[in-house]
Amino acid sequence: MSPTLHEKLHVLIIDDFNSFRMTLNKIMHELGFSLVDSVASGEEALNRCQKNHYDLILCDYNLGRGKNGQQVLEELRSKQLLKPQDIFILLSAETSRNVVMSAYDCEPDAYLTKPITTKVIEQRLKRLLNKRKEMLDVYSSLIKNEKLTAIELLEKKLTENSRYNMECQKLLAELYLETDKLDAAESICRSVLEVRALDWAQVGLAKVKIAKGEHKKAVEWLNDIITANPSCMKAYDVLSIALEALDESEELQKNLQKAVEISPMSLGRQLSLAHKAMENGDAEVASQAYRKTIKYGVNSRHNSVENKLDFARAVAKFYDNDATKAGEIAQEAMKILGSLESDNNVDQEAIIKTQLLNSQLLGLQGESKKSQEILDATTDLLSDQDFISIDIEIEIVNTMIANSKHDLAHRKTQELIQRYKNNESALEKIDSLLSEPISEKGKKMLAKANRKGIDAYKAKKYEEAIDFFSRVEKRYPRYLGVKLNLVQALLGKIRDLGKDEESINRCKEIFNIMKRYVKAESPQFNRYRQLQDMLNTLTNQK
Amino acid sequence: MSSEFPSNSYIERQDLINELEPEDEGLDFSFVLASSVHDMKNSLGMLLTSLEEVIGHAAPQDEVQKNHFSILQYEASRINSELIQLLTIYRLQQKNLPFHLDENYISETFEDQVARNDVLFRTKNIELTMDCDDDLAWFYDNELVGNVIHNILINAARYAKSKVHLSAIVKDNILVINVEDDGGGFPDFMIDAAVAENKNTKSSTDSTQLGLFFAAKIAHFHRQGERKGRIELSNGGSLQGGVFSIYLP
Repeated sequence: MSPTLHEKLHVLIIDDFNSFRMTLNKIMHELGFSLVDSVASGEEALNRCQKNHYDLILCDYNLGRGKNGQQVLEELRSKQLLKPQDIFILLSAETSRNVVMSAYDCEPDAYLTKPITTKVIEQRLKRLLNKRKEMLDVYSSLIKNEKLTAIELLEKKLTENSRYNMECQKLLAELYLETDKLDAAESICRSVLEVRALDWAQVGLAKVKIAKGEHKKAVEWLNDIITANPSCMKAYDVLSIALEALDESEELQKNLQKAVEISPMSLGRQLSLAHKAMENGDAEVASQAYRKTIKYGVNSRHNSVENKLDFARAVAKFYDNDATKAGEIAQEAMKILGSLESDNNVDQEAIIKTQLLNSQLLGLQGESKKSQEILDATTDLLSDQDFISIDIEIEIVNTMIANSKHDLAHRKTQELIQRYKNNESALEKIDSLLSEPISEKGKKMLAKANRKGIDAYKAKKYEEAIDFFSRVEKRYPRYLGVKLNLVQALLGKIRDLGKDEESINRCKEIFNIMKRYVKAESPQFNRYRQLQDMLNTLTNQK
Repeated sequence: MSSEFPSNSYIERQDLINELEPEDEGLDFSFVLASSVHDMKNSLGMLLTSLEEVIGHAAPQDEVQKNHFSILQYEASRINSELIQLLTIYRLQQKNLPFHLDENYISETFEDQVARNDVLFRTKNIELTMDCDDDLAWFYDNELVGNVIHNILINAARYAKSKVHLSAIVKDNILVINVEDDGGGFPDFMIDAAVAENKNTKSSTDSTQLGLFFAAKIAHFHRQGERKGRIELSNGGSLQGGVFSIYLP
């Protein structure tokens, strides 16, 4: 390699092993690089990159306790500290599937497996630097956000039959999509696919469909791509976009679940899954996904206070569905809450939420004395404050419910409804406490969710109606109306198709849960009594 | 450095356990085996790096020393590549093998593997040559096919007298990669075993044929329409020794 070429390039080596750092440092000097820095952790690396610009980064995947190489790369990108022409090489002694998958997933410029020799690095760098040189004009226009110029340059390179043809086509398809040249994007993907079924071109076509508003078609194609190649992570991400647009929340959750199973180290996806599952009322999946986001995301931007609190919330909510299973991960949630309490960087508001969630989890585990102590201490702390946020108020009510203090919770909720009656966004939050939504958005969502079930019921398709209502019930476990809908569909089935043990037991179970919080003044109370009578009549019939 | 070993391998092993976390509580033996193979491979990787440094720092004084170095180098590489094979086969069995089809320059894949085995071939005094059009590109998984070539090179390093030759051409829309040596050639039973692997008539995991089994599986992963990749062993070739060929449609 010609030494003069590299003199001006800044190199950063990231490896937690001193001996590897020294070896790499020596190799880089031998190869003619004279501006070489090295650091032992991802955190130090990010600090360095904030102060200096590096043209070439060699980063080990496993960096000991802190961030791993993938997280360093993700963070460099999200903070826009990498220019398109910068080279990031991921090194690893690992060939475990998780690591290989995440290496493909985060797309470094090269992925090299240790043991690494001078020759191997020399070889790879020579190629990467050649490519950099040839593509530099494209990269420069991308930095200036001159996409049309970049497109022109790439088109020209293609006619010249560059060695980086495939690279150019890929980038070009991307830029056509970004600049809304959909037909051009489609034709480039199709011409690649004529030669070979490469996944980026297949996914590219699906993106074109989405851009044209043909989401259903895109979903169909993406599912085919995933069936043929389950490790094509891009396909899952694009499928998520299409499903989101179609408002298919359950399909979206399933898609994310599949994706994190294949590439579990991708924390962005893990977090999307957690949010989506929570929204779908699937507290079990949500708690597991939050748990993994926090566990794998130590020291990353995904390790936020809010995610930790959400984990505890998901576990608390999981108690509404399955107390036994929820109990199994409650300990872990409480441990994480404990770590928040002793963290000096956590603000007062978050500390109070932490304590309230802690109290909730204790209450749900039957430790009412301890739970009450914490609640009292927190209430004391709050009595000095002029303003208490709606989020904290809601946690207080949840804590009361966790301790079976339903009357108290009811009074407090009514108070909140009065206080916030003109505040739609606060009312949306209060919905989670009620047996009936009160916000406009909540009402609309519920109506929409119920519609399919009601239609099926009217058409006397009871099985179908039961199926729809069960899903809605899982999503809104506290809404009385939904539970009653489900009971009504079950009773319809029993009446028309004859008694079956399973349906009867299910009705009885639902009534058991409802009787804990149904109130005589509830608007649904009459319906509740009617359905109860109906169940009794039907079960007593011979 | 020695104090750093256990903690590092512990962390990486933890990763593998997360990856493999079995659904039920009972551990099965192949899982335990895979996770310890993984561990051994990592330790060996470090050993190989240190070894290269030692050879780099202190050039061998005489033929005897040089011979010792080459034995160390060869045996360590061989174990390392066998462990990689074992893990790949494990993942194959679990239907868990990441597969990434892309267009690659064959010359670059060759260069990577030649560079990877540079010290080995130098210490063994074997000349490794390459014949491939610089612009020849083909569709395959670079990581997997690279590992197959790596294994074959290590094997060739053992049996070659003084020369190993790597070459690639595209014929009838199929990429043919040949690894030739000037050694004594393959015994008949190996040649038959390669044929059997392609036909899937038996699944030989017998230790001497593990490499073949691995290479055949990787070849099979590569499909285009009705055609499927395969391997072939023969004797003769340009160096009048063993010839390993992999065909990728």
